[in-house]
Amino acid sequence: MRRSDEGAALLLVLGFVVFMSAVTGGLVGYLSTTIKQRVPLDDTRAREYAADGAIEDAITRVRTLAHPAEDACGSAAGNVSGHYQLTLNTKVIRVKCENALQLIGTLKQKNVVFTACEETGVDCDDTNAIIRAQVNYETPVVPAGSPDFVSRTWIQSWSVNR
Amino acid sequence: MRKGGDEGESLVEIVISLVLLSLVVSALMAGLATVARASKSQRDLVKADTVMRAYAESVKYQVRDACQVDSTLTYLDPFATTPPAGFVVSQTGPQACPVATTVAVHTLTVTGNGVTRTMDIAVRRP
Repeated sequence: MRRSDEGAALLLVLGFVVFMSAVTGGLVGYLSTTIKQRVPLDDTRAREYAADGAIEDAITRVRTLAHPAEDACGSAAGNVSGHYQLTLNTKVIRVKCENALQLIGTLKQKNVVFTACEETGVDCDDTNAIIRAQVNYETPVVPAGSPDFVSRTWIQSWSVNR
Repeated sequence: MRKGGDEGESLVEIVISLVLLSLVVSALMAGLATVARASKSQRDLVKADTVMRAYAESVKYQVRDACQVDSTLTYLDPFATTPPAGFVVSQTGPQACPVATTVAVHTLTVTGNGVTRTMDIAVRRP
């Protein structure tokens, strides 16, 4: 028995339309992903290097304290209510610093932990940290009562979180 | 005997099909060309990003390496190193070592394959 061809054209057209829609959808999706990726790439780099620069800046500020890792960490010149701030690549970065002094016998390991995050009005913590670094301030022995002289700073750890 | 009224329809149908197919294939080709361009643009952008990061780390390394003693020293121009083919790098900023109590800001520029990117970095003495 011969089958009727009626309706075959419609099925063919529907199949073609679905196929073309899938191809077009794929192309548009790829294009939009490509365009969207451009901004985060630049933005991430700008933010990362801004945070990097802000920590470098905070390290130099703490270096000016009479006794780094012992005096109030966020009290050096340029502090903003106990923390430091730097604008780089249009990003305002806040740097929180915490003394992490360690005593090994009579020797003092003058360590400070810096945490950088984007300035949003709240302190930097694990949830918003961009970079966290632990820095050791090397100071030759000075007479008691004299201010320290930082001869060198050593980066003990430097982790980029996001 | 042929059914009446069908004569000549095959040719017309084939011509219309060909025209439609040509339009669809042209659109597809144009789409693929756009995707290829976008892909190249993305590749150039990622490459520029990599060059910029390498450049920034190079500046930081030069300062760390050359400025350990005092601030009267100058450091080697890291931009004398050859960037990847098709890219030009430049910077503005002090070439003298920064003093111990402040950072120096450098503005880095990377240009290549129609992409120009600038970025500031802050460097300090070790």
